[in-house]
Amino acid sequence: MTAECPGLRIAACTVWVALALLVTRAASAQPPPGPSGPAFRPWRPVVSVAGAWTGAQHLGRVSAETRRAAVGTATPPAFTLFTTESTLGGAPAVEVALALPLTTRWAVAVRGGVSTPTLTTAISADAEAAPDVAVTEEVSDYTVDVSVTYQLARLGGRRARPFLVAGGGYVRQLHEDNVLVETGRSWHGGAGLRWWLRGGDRGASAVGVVGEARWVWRTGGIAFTDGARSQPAASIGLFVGF
Amino acid sequence: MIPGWRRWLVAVLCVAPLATPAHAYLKFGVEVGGRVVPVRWAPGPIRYFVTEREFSGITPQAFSDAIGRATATWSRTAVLPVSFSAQGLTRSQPFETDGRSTFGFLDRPDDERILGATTFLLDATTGQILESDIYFNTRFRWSTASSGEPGASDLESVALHELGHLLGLGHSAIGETEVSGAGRRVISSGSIMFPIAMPAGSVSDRVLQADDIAGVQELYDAAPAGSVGSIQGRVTKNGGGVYGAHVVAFHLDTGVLVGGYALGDDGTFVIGGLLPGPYVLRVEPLDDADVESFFAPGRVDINFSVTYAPKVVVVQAGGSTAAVGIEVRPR
Repeated sequence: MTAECPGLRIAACTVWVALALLVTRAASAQPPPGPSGPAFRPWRPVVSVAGAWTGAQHLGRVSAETRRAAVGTATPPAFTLFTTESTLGGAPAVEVALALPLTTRWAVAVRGGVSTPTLTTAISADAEAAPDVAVTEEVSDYTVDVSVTYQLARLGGRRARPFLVAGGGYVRQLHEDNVLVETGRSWHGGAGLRWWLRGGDRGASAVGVVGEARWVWRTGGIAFTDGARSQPAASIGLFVGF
Repeated sequence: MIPGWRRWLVAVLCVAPLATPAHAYLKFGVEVGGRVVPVRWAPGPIRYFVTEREFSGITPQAFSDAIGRATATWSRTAVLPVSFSAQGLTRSQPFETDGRSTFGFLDRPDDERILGATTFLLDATTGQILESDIYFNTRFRWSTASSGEPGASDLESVALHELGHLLGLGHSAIGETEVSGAGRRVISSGSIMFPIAMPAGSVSDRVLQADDIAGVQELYDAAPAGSVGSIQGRVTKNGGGVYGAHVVAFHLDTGVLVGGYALGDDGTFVIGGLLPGPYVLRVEPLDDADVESFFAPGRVDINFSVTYAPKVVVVQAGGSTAAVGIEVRPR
């Protein structure tokens, strides 16, 4: 959590404390794994809460330019007054997801996430030799996406199964003090691992830990360049299957 | 006929072939009934005449065509409640107070640094412009060739600048110059309303820039409702206001530059007509310009270094930002 966002820091701490407590209690139960490995029950919802880290995004390089004095052309070359390069920094996030298994392998999930990254604009190459500086603002970043996950065969021990995930969604970003909203789209693809602490034998509710790493592409939203930007993201949390 | 008590010849605004730099747009204002009102035209057509005089091989028709292209550029680029209406040729001369806005060549050999100038006749009770004349100084060579002419000033470019004055705009300071002989030579400009013209032969100033459009649309309240916002703030040095500091807003998304000045005694500034989005603010002194191109001399503080606002400033449509504080350091 960034020091500038105590509210989000408290929320993330709450997630981690709850996760630690549930993992401790579930681990003490140590359920017997099913003979074919743990799996969700089709058409029974799975809820998960996770703490995440979203990596930095490069938002683009833009120069403040004026028309250079020139003769013989209606489109003179540019004169650079200064140059900016902006980055949306990496930030912790809180994610909540609701998944619906379609089979023991396939599931669809809706996930919402919130984070407060810092937009940093580095200013350099001032025409009057002003020192390089960096200016900032805090952004509130909200995402809602839909994913499809595919559960692979169990891995190693009998309670862990990896999965693949891909999907896309909607991004809503608010500039500092909520004065302006910018929206965009996102796509992601990645992989993860679920570790059943309890259940997973098709006959009982399940509790476990889920970790996921994904690559995220975004268009629109706060950006100063055309095209998609990409960023890594990773999360770890707790799931409960009903 | 205009009653004598309403006649008020207010200003002569010039564009110089060699002069100085700065940044941003200014509006003219006059004090009416204890408050300052903007100098501008009433909504409707601005009727103008061009003189019959031929000069430098430029016929009245070629002159009129160049003026027509410049007026069309203002009308096409900026959505305004006023328009331009050519009324034909006249035997009058620019700067004759006759109720007719007249554009033409004029012999001003004494104005060796002035390519052209604009005058106003105002209604002193409302601030409305009643007449505005523009002259082009015959001390210089002129051209209306489509791609310019070496050594000749481009009449359309200078007309575009003077028409900005005619509409009510002052000088912008978005540009850079360097000392050249007794004057200054422009290196670059980010506004048609920059007080120094591009070199003779250049035709690159036939297109308005974002600073010009923001300025004239704010002057005439012409931007679509709720489509633009403003930045307000204060420039200080050692805790005191910096009068005359030039503040440039740079839109990170579109790359446009729009300028303003700290015109309050306490260093306060407002830059209007801005598209919504995040901005970087740069403050600089008017240190390499003829300050008289922008303000009455004597009060402008130029003893500070270029400084950027410490935060990205976000403009919302239809609103103004919270006050942005920018502390500059003495040089």
